[in-house]
Amino acid sequence: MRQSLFKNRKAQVFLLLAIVILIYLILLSTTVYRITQSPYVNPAPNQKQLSNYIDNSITAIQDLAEASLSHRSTGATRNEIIVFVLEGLNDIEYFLDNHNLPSVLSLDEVDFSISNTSSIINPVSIQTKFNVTLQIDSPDVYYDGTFLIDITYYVEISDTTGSENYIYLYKINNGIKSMINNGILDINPSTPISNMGDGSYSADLQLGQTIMATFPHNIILWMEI
Amino acid sequence: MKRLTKNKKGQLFIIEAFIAVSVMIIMVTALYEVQLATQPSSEPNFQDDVYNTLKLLDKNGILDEYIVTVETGSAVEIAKIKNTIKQSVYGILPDNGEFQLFCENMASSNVVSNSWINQALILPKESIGIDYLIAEINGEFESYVYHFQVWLKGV
Repeated sequence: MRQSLFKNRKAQVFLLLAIVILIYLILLSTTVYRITQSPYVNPAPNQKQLSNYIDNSITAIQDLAEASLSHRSTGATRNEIIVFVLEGLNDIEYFLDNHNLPSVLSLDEVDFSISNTSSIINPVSIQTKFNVTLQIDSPDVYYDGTFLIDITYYVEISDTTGSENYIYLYKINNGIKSMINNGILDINPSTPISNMGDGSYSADLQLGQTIMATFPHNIILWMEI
Repeated sequence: MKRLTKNKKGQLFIIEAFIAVSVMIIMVTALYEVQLATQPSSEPNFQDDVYNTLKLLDKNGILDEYIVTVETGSAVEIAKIKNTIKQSVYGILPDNGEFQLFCENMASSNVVSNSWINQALILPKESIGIDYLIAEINGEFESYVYHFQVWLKGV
Protein backbone atom coordinates (compact mmCIF):
# COMPACT_ATOMS: atom_id res chain seq x y z
CA MET A 1 0.00 0.00 0.00
CA ARG A 2 2.81 2.34 0.88
CA GLN A 3 4.48 1.62 -2.39
CA SER A 4 1.25 2.39 -4.23
CA LEU A 5 0.89 5.63 -2.30
CA PHE A 6 4.28 6.81 -3.38
CA LYS A 7 3.58 5.77 -6.93
CA ASN A 8 0.24 7.58 -7.05
CA ARG A 9 1.17 11.11 -8.02
CA LYS A 10 -1.99 12.82 -6.78
CA ALA A 11 -1.81 11.04 -3.45
CA GLN A 12 1.80 12.15 -3.12
CA VAL A 13 0.76 15.73 -3.80
CA PHE A 14 -2.05 15.42 -1.28
CA LEU A 15 0.23 14.02 1.38
CA LEU A 16 2.76 16.74 0.76
CA LEU A 17 0.06 19.35 0.98
CA ALA A 18 -1.18 17.87 4.26
CA ILE A 19 2.33 18.00 5.74
CA VAL A 20 2.81 21.61 4.65
CA ILE A 21 -0.55 22.60 6.17
CA LEU A 22 0.40 20.80 9.37
CA ILE A 23 3.70 22.67 9.61
CA TYR A 24 1.89 25.97 9.04
CA LEU A 25 -0.64 25.11 11.74
CA ILE A 26 2.10 24.29 14.23
CA LEU A 27 3.97 27.51 13.47
CA LEU A 28 0.78 29.56 13.71
CA SER A 29 -0.32 28.06 17.01
CA THR A 30 3.18 28.52 18.48
CA THR A 31 3.24 32.17 17.46
CA VAL A 32 -0.27 32.87 18.77
CA TYR A 33 0.58 31.15 22.04
CA ARG A 34 3.74 33.19 22.50
CA ILE A 35 1.99 36.48 21.75
CA THR A 36 -0.92 35.84 24.11
CA GLN A 37 1.34 34.66 26.93
CA SER A 38 3.91 37.42 26.64
CA PRO A 39 4.14 39.67 29.69
CA TYR A 40 5.06 42.72 27.64
CA VAL A 41 2.75 45.66 27.27
CA ASN A 42 2.18 45.79 23.53
CA PRO A 43 1.02 42.22 22.97
CA ALA A 44 -2.09 41.02 24.76
CA PRO A 45 -1.81 41.29 28.55
CA ASN A 46 -2.67 38.31 30.71
CA GLN A 47 -5.86 37.98 32.74
CA LYS A 48 -4.37 39.45 35.92
CA GLN A 49 -3.22 42.51 34.06
CA LEU A 50 -6.60 42.89 32.38
CA SER A 51 -8.45 42.92 35.69
CA ASN A 52 -5.90 45.37 37.11
CA TYR A 53 -6.40 47.71 34.15
CA ILE A 54 -10.17 47.66 34.70
CA ASP A 55 -9.65 48.39 38.40
CA ASN A 56 -7.21 51.17 37.47
CA SER A 57 -9.80 52.76 35.19
CA ILE A 58 -12.21 52.91 38.14
CA THR A 59 -9.61 54.70 40.32
CA ALA A 60 -9.04 57.08 37.40
CA ILE A 61 -12.78 57.88 37.35
CA GLN A 62 -12.43 58.73 41.05
CA ASP A 63 -9.52 61.00 40.09
CA LEU A 64 -11.85 62.85 37.74
CA ALA A 65 -14.30 63.39 40.60
CA GLU A 66 -11.54 64.88 42.78
CA ALA A 67 -10.45 67.19 39.95
CA SER A 68 -14.10 68.22 39.44
CA LEU A 69 -14.38 69.21 43.11
CA SER A 70 -11.12 71.15 42.90
CA HIS A 71 -12.32 73.08 39.85
CA ARG A 72 -15.70 73.73 41.43
CA SER A 73 -14.06 75.03 44.60
CA THR A 74 -12.14 77.55 42.54
CA GLY A 75 -15.20 78.76 40.64
CA ALA A 76 -15.66 76.54 37.56
CA THR A 77 -19.22 76.06 36.32
CA ARG A 78 -21.00 72.71 36.03
CA ASN A 79 -20.81 72.78 32.22
CA GLU A 80 -17.08 73.57 32.20
CA ILE A 81 -16.48 70.67 34.57
CA ILE A 82 -18.54 68.25 32.44
CA VAL A 83 -16.35 69.08 29.43
CA PHE A 84 -13.22 68.26 31.45
CA VAL A 85 -14.73 65.03 32.78
CA LEU A 86 -15.62 63.91 29.23
CA GLU A 87 -12.03 64.58 28.12
CA GLY A 88 -10.78 62.58 31.09
CA LEU A 89 -13.07 59.68 30.20
CA ASN A 90 -11.63 59.77 26.66
CA ASP A 91 -8.15 59.39 28.15
CA ILE A 92 -9.30 56.38 30.18
CA GLU A 93 -10.88 54.84 27.07
CA TYR A 94 -7.64 55.39 25.16
CA PHE A 95 -5.65 53.77 27.98
CA LEU A 96 -7.91 50.69 27.99
CA ASP A 97 -7.92 50.48 24.19
CA ASN A 98 -4.12 50.46 24.24
CA HIS A 99 -4.21 47.41 26.48
CA ASN A 100 -6.45 45.32 24.24
CA LEU A 101 -9.56 46.35 26.14
CA PRO A 102 -11.77 48.15 23.62
CA SER A 103 -14.02 50.22 25.85
CA VAL A 104 -16.79 52.76 25.89
CA LEU A 105 -17.14 55.07 28.89
CA SER A 106 -20.28 57.14 29.09
CA LEU A 107 -21.19 59.86 31.53
CA ASP A 108 -24.80 60.44 32.54
CA GLU A 109 -24.67 64.20 31.96
CA VAL A 110 -28.30 64.79 32.97
CA ASP A 111 -27.76 63.49 36.50
CA PHE A 112 -24.29 65.03 36.89
CA SER A 113 -24.37 67.21 39.99
CA ILE A 114 -21.74 69.35 41.64
CA SER A 115 -22.47 71.93 44.30
CA ASN A 116 -21.22 73.59 47.43
CA THR A 117 -23.03 74.95 50.45
CA SER A 118 -22.95 78.48 51.79
CA SER A 119 -19.78 79.44 53.67
CA ILE A 120 -21.79 80.56 56.70
CA ILE A 121 -23.42 77.20 57.38
CA ASN A 122 -21.68 74.73 59.71
CA PRO A 123 -20.56 72.32 58.29
CA VAL A 124 -19.48 73.72 54.93
CA SER A 125 -19.37 71.11 52.21
CA ILE A 126 -18.75 70.51 48.52
CA GLN A 127 -20.20 67.53 46.73
CA THR A 128 -20.16 65.83 43.37
CA LYS A 129 -22.37 62.97 42.29
CA PHE A 130 -22.48 61.28 38.90
CA ASN A 131 -22.78 57.96 37.08
CA VAL A 132 -20.26 56.52 34.64
CA THR A 133 -20.91 53.38 32.64
CA LEU A 134 -17.96 51.29 31.51
CA GLN A 135 -18.42 48.74 28.74
CA ILE A 136 -15.63 46.51 27.50
CA ASP A 137 -16.18 44.02 24.73
CA SER A 138 -13.03 42.16 23.77
CA PRO A 139 -12.20 38.52 23.03
CA ASP A 140 -10.60 38.33 26.49
CA VAL A 141 -13.06 40.26 28.62
CA TYR A 142 -16.67 41.32 28.57
CA TYR A 143 -17.50 43.95 31.16
CA ASP A 144 -20.50 46.17 31.69
CA GLY A 145 -20.71 48.15 34.89
CA THR A 146 -22.08 51.46 36.14
CA PHE A 147 -20.24 53.34 38.85
CA LEU A 148 -21.89 55.84 41.12
CA ILE A 149 -19.44 58.49 42.21
CA ASP A 150 -20.57 60.35 45.32
CA ILE A 151 -17.88 62.35 47.12
CA THR A 152 -18.38 65.15 49.64
CA TYR A 153 -15.72 67.11 51.53
CA TYR A 154 -16.59 68.86 54.79
CA VAL A 155 -15.23 71.53 57.10
CA GLU A 156 -16.96 71.47 60.45
CA ILE A 157 -16.24 73.41 63.63
CA SER A 158 -17.05 72.79 67.25
CA ASP A 159 -18.60 75.67 69.17
CA THR A 160 -16.57 78.82 69.56
CA THR A 161 -16.90 79.20 73.33
CA GLY A 162 -13.71 79.08 75.37
CA SER A 163 -10.24 79.00 73.83
CA GLU A 164 -10.05 75.30 72.92
CA ASN A 165 -12.07 74.79 69.77
CA TYR A 166 -11.77 72.31 66.95
CA ILE A 167 -12.01 72.29 63.20
CA TYR A 168 -12.78 68.90 61.59
CA LEU A 169 -11.84 68.04 58.04
CA TYR A 170 -13.36 64.94 56.53
CA LYS A 171 -14.60 63.31 53.38
CA ILE A 172 -17.49 60.95 52.71
CA ASN A 173 -16.92 58.76 49.66
CA ASN A 174 -19.94 56.61 48.75
CA GLY A 175 -21.00 56.57 52.40
CA ILE A 176 -17.56 55.91 53.85
CA LYS A 177 -16.24 58.64 56.09
CA SER A 178 -12.53 59.33 56.34
CA MET A 179 -10.82 62.04 58.32
CA ILE A 180 -8.35 64.30 56.51
CA ASN A 181 -5.11 64.62 58.46
CA ASN A 182 -3.08 66.46 55.87
CA GLY A 183 -5.32 69.44 55.21
CA ILE A 184 -3.95 72.97 55.33
CA LEU A 185 -5.82 75.56 57.38
CA ASP A 186 -5.51 79.28 57.16
CA ILE A 187 -7.50 81.34 59.67
CA ASN A 188 -8.00 85.06 59.32
CA PRO A 189 -7.46 86.98 61.63
CA SER A 190 -4.62 84.63 62.33
CA THR A 191 -4.58 82.24 65.29
CA PRO A 192 -2.29 79.29 66.15
CA ILE A 193 -3.53 75.90 64.86
CA SER A 194 -2.50 72.45 66.09
CA ASN A 195 -3.00 69.40 63.92
CA MET A 196 -4.24 66.69 66.30
CA GLY A 197 -3.49 63.94 63.74
CA ASP A 198 -7.00 62.53 63.68
CA GLY A 199 -8.65 64.91 61.26
CA SER A 200 -9.21 67.51 63.95
CA TYR A 201 -7.31 70.78 64.30
CA SER A 202 -7.25 72.72 67.53
CA ALA A 203 -7.51 76.53 67.45
CA ASP A 204 -8.89 79.40 69.47
CA LEU A 205 -11.82 80.33 67.24
CA GLN A 206 -13.57 83.70 67.47
CA LEU A 207 -16.72 84.99 65.83
CA GLY A 208 -15.92 86.95 62.67
CA GLN A 209 -12.95 84.81 61.64
CA THR A 210 -12.68 83.18 58.23
CA ILE A 211 -11.26 79.67 57.74
CA MET A 212 -9.75 78.59 54.44
CA ALA A 213 -9.27 74.80 54.31
CA THR A 214 -7.21 73.27 51.51
CA PHE A 215 -7.76 69.55 51.11
CA PRO A 216 -5.63 67.12 49.10
CA HIS A 217 -6.31 67.44 45.32
CA ASN A 218 -6.36 71.21 45.87
CA ILE A 219 -10.00 71.33 46.98
CA ILE A 220 -10.62 74.58 48.83
CA LEU A 221 -13.46 75.35 51.21
CA TRP A 222 -14.20 78.61 53.03
CA MET A 223 -16.05 79.00 56.27
CA GLU A 224 -17.11 82.22 57.96
CA ILE A 225 -17.53 81.91 61.69
CA MET B 1 -8.55 14.33 -7.47
CA LYS B 2 -11.85 12.97 -8.80
CA ARG B 3 -10.08 9.95 -10.21
CA LEU B 4 -8.25 9.52 -6.96
CA THR B 5 -11.44 9.49 -4.90
CA LYS B 6 -13.08 7.06 -7.30
CA ASN B 7 -10.11 4.76 -7.25
CA LYS B 8 -10.49 2.40 -4.29
CA LYS B 9 -6.78 2.25 -3.63
CA GLY B 10 -6.57 6.02 -3.91
CA GLN B 11 -9.29 6.35 -1.25
CA LEU B 12 -7.35 4.05 1.02
CA PHE B 13 -4.23 6.11 0.49
CA ILE B 14 -6.08 9.28 1.37
CA ILE B 15 -7.40 7.69 4.55
CA GLU B 16 -3.94 6.47 5.38
CA ALA B 17 -2.55 9.93 4.77
CA PHE B 18 -5.17 11.46 7.08
CA ILE B 19 -4.41 8.92 9.77
CA ALA B 20 -0.69 9.62 9.44
CA VAL B 21 -1.25 13.36 9.63
CA SER B 22 -3.56 12.98 12.67
CA VAL B 23 -1.00 10.83 14.48
CA MET B 24 1.67 13.40 13.72
CA ILE B 25 -0.53 16.26 15.02
CA ILE B 26 -1.25 14.37 18.24
CA MET B 27 2.42 13.56 18.74
CA VAL B 28 3.58 17.08 18.06
CA THR B 29 0.89 18.55 20.36
CA ALA B 30 1.75 16.10 23.12
CA LEU B 31 5.47 16.84 22.82
CA TYR B 32 4.79 20.58 22.83
CA GLU B 33 2.64 20.38 25.95
CA VAL B 34 5.13 18.22 27.80
CA GLN B 35 7.81 20.74 26.92
CA LEU B 36 5.64 23.62 28.21
CA ALA B 37 4.85 21.79 31.43
CA THR B 38 8.45 20.97 32.18
CA GLN B 39 9.97 24.29 31.09
CA PRO B 40 10.47 26.43 34.19
CA SER B 41 9.04 29.91 33.76
CA SER B 42 11.55 32.69 34.12
CA GLU B 43 8.82 35.33 34.36
CA PRO B 44 8.33 36.87 37.77
CA ASN B 45 4.71 36.87 38.84
CA PHE B 46 4.31 40.12 40.71
CA GLN B 47 1.60 41.90 38.78
CA ASP B 48 -0.79 42.04 41.70
CA ASP B 49 1.85 43.02 44.27
CA VAL B 50 3.24 45.79 42.11
CA TYR B 51 -0.23 46.94 41.07
CA ASN B 52 -1.42 47.09 44.69
CA THR B 53 1.69 49.03 45.67
CA LEU B 54 1.03 51.54 42.90
CA LYS B 55 -2.60 51.82 43.99
CA LEU B 56 -1.50 52.52 47.54
CA LEU B 57 1.03 55.11 46.39
CA ASP B 58 -1.74 56.69 44.31
CA LYS B 59 -4.13 56.71 47.27
CA ASN B 60 -1.52 58.42 49.41
CA GLY B 61 -0.92 61.06 46.76
CA ILE B 62 2.67 59.94 46.08
CA LEU B 63 2.10 59.37 42.35
CA ASP B 64 0.64 62.88 41.95
CA GLU B 65 3.48 64.32 43.99
CA TYR B 66 6.01 62.42 41.88
CA ILE B 67 4.84 64.04 38.65
CA VAL B 68 4.74 67.52 40.20
CA THR B 69 8.18 67.05 41.76
CA VAL B 70 9.96 65.70 38.68
CA GLU B 71 8.50 68.55 36.63
CA THR B 72 9.08 71.42 39.04
CA GLY B 73 11.06 70.20 42.07
CA SER B 74 14.72 70.59 42.99
CA ALA B 75 17.27 67.80 42.49
CA VAL B 76 17.10 66.98 46.20
CA GLU B 77 13.30 66.76 46.16
CA ILE B 78 13.37 64.59 43.03
CA ALA B 79 15.93 62.24 44.58
CA LYS B 80 13.85 62.03 47.76
CA ILE B 81 10.60 61.09 46.06
CA LYS B 82 12.35 58.63 43.72
CA ASN B 83 13.75 57.00 46.80
CA THR B 84 10.24 56.72 48.28
CA ILE B 85 9.00 54.91 45.17
CA LYS B 86 12.10 52.71 45.01
CA GLN B 87 11.67 51.65 48.63
CA SER B 88 8.00 50.85 48.09
CA VAL B 89 8.58 48.77 44.95
CA TYR B 90 11.74 46.99 46.12
CA GLY B 91 9.92 46.28 49.38
CA ILE B 92 7.50 43.94 47.65
CA LEU B 93 10.00 42.35 45.25
CA PRO B 94 12.34 39.51 46.21
CA ASP B 95 16.02 40.28 46.74
CA ASN B 96 16.82 39.67 43.07
CA GLY B 97 13.84 41.72 41.87
CA GLU B 98 14.51 44.72 39.67
CA PHE B 99 12.37 47.36 38.00
CA GLN B 100 12.43 50.26 35.62
CA LEU B 101 9.94 53.12 35.49
CA PHE B 102 9.06 56.19 33.49
CA CYS B 103 6.00 58.41 33.13
CA GLU B 104 4.23 59.49 29.98
CA ASN B 105 2.03 62.53 29.53
CA MET B 106 -1.06 61.27 27.68
CA ALA B 107 -1.93 64.62 26.11
CA SER B 108 1.48 65.04 24.46
CA SER B 109 2.56 61.37 24.39
CA ASN B 110 5.93 62.59 25.67
CA VAL B 111 7.97 60.90 28.34
CA VAL B 112 8.24 63.18 31.37
CA SER B 113 11.87 64.16 31.62
CA ASN B 114 13.46 63.20 34.94
CA SER B 115 10.72 60.63 35.53
CA TRP B 116 12.98 57.66 34.80
CA ILE B 117 14.00 55.37 37.62
CA ASN B 118 16.74 52.84 36.84
CA GLN B 119 16.95 54.05 33.25
CA ALA B 120 20.48 52.69 32.90
CA LEU B 121 19.39 49.12 33.57
CA ILE B 122 19.21 46.88 30.54
CA LEU B 123 15.89 45.12 30.20
CA PRO B 124 16.25 41.34 30.18
CA LYS B 125 14.68 39.15 27.52
CA GLU B 126 11.59 38.68 29.64
CA SER B 127 9.99 41.08 32.06
CA ILE B 128 6.52 42.03 33.19
CA GLY B 129 5.03 45.26 31.91
CA ILE B 130 2.64 47.11 34.20
CA ASP B 131 1.00 50.39 33.29
CA TYR B 132 -0.84 52.59 35.76
CA LEU B 133 -3.05 55.51 34.81
CA ILE B 134 -3.68 58.62 36.89
CA ALA B 135 -6.23 61.13 35.60
CA GLU B 136 -5.69 64.01 38.01
CA ILE B 137 -2.68 65.94 39.27
CA ASN B 138 -3.14 68.26 42.22
CA GLY B 139 -6.74 69.00 41.24
CA GLU B 140 -6.07 69.42 37.52
CA PHE B 141 -7.52 67.17 34.81
CA GLU B 142 -4.22 65.77 33.56
CA SER B 143 -3.61 62.16 32.55
CA TYR B 144 -0.29 60.41 32.99
CA VAL B 145 0.67 56.77 32.57
CA TYR B 146 3.30 55.15 34.76
CA HIS B 147 5.15 52.49 32.75
CA PHE B 148 6.77 49.77 34.86
CA GLN B 149 8.94 46.84 33.83
CA VAL B 150 9.65 44.28 36.55
CA TRP B 151 11.94 41.26 36.39
CA LEU B 152 14.15 38.92 38.39
CA LYS B 153 17.93 39.15 38.06
CA GLY B 154 19.82 35.96 37.25
CA VAL B 155 16.76 33.95 36.23
